[in-house]
Amino acid sequence: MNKALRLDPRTKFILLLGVNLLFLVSHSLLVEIILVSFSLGVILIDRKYKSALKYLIIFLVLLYIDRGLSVYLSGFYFTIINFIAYALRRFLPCLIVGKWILETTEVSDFVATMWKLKLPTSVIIPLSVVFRYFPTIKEEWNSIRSAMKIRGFRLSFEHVMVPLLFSAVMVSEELSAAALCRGLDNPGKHSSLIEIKMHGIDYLILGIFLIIVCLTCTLKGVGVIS
Amino acid sequence: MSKQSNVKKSKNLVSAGIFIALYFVVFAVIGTICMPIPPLYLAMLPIIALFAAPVYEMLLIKAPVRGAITIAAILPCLFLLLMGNIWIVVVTGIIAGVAAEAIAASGNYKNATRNKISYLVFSLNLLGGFLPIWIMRDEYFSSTLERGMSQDFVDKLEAMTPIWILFVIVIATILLALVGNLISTNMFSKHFKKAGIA
Amino acid sequence: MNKTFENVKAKSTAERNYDAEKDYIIEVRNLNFEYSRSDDSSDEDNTSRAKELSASSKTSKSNLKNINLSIKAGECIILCGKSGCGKSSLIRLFNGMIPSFYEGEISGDLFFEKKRLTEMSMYEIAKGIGTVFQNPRTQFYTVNTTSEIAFGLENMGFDREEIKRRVERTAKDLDIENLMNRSIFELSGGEKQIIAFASIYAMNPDVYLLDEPSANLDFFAINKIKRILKLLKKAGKTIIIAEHRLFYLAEIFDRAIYMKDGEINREYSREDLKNMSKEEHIKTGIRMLDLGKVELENTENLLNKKDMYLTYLSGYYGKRKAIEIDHLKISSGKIYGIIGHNGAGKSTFLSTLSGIIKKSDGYSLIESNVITKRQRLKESYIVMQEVNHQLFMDSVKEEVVASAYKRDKSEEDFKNLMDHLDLTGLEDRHPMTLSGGQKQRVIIASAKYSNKKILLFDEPTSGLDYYHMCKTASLIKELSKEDCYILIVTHDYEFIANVCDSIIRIEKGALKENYELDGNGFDKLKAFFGVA
Repeated sequence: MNKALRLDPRTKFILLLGVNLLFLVSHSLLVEIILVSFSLGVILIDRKYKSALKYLIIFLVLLYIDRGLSVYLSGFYFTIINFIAYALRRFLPCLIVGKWILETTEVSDFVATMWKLKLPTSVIIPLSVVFRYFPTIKEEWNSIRSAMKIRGFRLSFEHVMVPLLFSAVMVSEELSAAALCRGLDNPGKHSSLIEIKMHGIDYLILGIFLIIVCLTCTLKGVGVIS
Repeated sequence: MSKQSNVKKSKNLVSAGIFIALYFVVFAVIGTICMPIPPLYLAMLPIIALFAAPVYEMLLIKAPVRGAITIAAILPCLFLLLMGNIWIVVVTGIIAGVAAEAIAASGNYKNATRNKISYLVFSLNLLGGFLPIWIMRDEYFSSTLERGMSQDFVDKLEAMTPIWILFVIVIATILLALVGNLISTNMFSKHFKKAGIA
Repeated sequence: MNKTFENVKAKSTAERNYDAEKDYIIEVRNLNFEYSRSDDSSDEDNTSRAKELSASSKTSKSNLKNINLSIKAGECIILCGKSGCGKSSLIRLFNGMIPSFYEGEISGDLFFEKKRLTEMSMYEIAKGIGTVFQNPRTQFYTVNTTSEIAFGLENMGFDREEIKRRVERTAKDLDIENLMNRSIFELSGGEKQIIAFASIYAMNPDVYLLDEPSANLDFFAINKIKRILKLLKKAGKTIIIAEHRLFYLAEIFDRAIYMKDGEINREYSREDLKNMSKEEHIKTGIRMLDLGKVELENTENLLNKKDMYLTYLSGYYGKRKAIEIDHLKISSGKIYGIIGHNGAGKSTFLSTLSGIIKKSDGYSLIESNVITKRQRLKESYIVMQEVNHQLFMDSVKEEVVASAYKRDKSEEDFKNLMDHLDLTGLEDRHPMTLSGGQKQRVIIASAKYSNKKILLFDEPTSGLDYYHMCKTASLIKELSKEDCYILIVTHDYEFIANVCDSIIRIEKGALKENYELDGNGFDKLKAFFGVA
């Protein structure tokens, strides 16, 4: 199997929220290491070897600044730097999971997941358009920039915002027309080409995460960690 | 006629997506500039409030539909969550979004004063994203003090990050949101109203 | 045709109780439609604004008057006429956008397969009538080609297996398997348009509505569209197509409906269109049916020419060299047409020459003076295809006058310029309320006002009817008398024959050939466009 692992987007989102909640429960180094290892494990399963190595090095360096360097160095500025390093390190598991979700979730999968979750159309339609419009904004920005250059206009808020908004109004009209002519207003059943389904690997990863949660809570409850 | 209202609604939802995307880009551009520089980082919220006003106004005009404002408010929060911020940012996003939505909807999205107030409330959506500074600070103190750091440093760092900064952010955001709204009103009468699209 | 498609069809036809053999598939009787002035902002009654609004909407929203039209299943009908004649409104009527999306006052009867179309919801109509729009950039809803083709089917609630089957079938029938599962943003305009066709094809409607599908496409992409249309025609589909360019429809269409001022003016047969005189083309705005009949009309004027030399001029995208022109001489007063295949680097050439590109290399000289990239930027102006991105000001006057570059012009000069470009009376209008052609002229006026010498055009005639194309051509000829360097990237064969003196052909990021457009050159041009 050389295709990248495709986890259910729901699994990904549960992991993101879970990691986010868990890292605030305890600030013991043990939990932190477990969480970092877990998130690295997840992206390793997804064959993101390079980024895993990158994150590992970042984590070790940040840890060294806090635990190693602080023995030798002191002073006000170091404290500030150390504070930033500390904060970054604490947030690292969330960042690893978040970046991984951004990189590995296709827009189509995301949209299909929203339908699967039976969210209202007033959520699904705007969100699916948002992702479709981002690249268009970039194209338009390039084109507006060129036009400004050719006229020798300096960058100003009005000169950027006015053409962008005019263009957005036009696109919104044409895009909704094209979508409505393909049945966007159908109030009945909607289906998806992409199948969103939990597989064994989803349950496995969620299971491991659940064990980590239980472990942390027990340890904290017993008072082994703070 | 219900078929017509359904078409209108779908059209509004698509338009909402377009303007939410534009708002997000304003957030992302300002965020990328501000994030790496600590003092600017704290000014991020007011700066966004200043520049996003025309997009917000257009959203209300072109997509007067339930939910659009709330989604616009929450989306950048979700992004911050993905980038490793804490979940509280989503909570403030939801509160600001729902409140702003309710205010604008009470005037049918057409009442200028209510729309303005709605924008002020909306602008505070990312407030929760700044809380980690204080949460982390306290955590850091306890963790460093445990390891025998001098109280002196702790005091200095505490002096640099007083909690009232949060209130300053709130007030600055509201003020700049007002200014942004003024600029936007001006821009609308100069351009979009004159061109007949608003 | 696909078996599964047919099963679905058989069932639905029985339900509809409609006999395709005997009956008309679409019937319009005594239909009138008037767009409502302003949609929902009526509570802010501002009369001057309302006036302006109605003036501006004239360009894109033309009312329909007394339409009577019967269309048989399997027919291919062209709707033609000048911009603003109401052909787009007629398309909007057939796909249900009128009166659901565009509100207004409607009277008369409209039947689709014996059912009243005006009483159907848009999604119901979408099952039987599919629409391909003009702008490939704005009509896709998803970011991935496969999802895009599945989009309509998903809205209809088909089973996953059925959607899969149809998407695969569509890819095979339209020969686009190589485009599947790609990001739509990587595709060229022509490929995007083919995906738009595919997403309709997958829904398998009986009627295809096409609203100027070739307007933003190059010559080669148009030929691909032609292939698809032939396929549809063979499958017995009804095709209604609003279009200026007719050459690619020559073998496909059955009759052409000519519209004027929102009314059906007359009907043309293939013979009528073939034998049309040039005057009639200009009067009706209908483009040539047979490009073989297009004649050279360029008239080079030889007023004290200056020459610009480009040597090893290259432009980069990031680190990649996107274009390099080793040697090229450009004379002022001459009009150059830049041609080449899609992605050859024509637009990059314009940005390199104009100096807006970030990284460029090489030399340029005018007579014997070296001019730098910065000087070129000061001297040049690009009229882009997307004119809307080039308008920044709140009035036509401001738009023309505002420029960071030094100029020496009086109020008198301004008046003359406006007069010359047929813009007098529009000075106070917001540029965005103008028609496409007027916007283009405002941009040209602003270039002239700031004394720009190098005038570059990117597809200036895409989507123009014959009349407006000729107007643009004569305007550019006028400009060429004033000692300007004029280069035009274009795929419009009729336009090239009308206006260009010399051809620069760019392929694969390099200059392939440069020839004068005389008898010999014309043959080369014909060969390039495959005109017999």
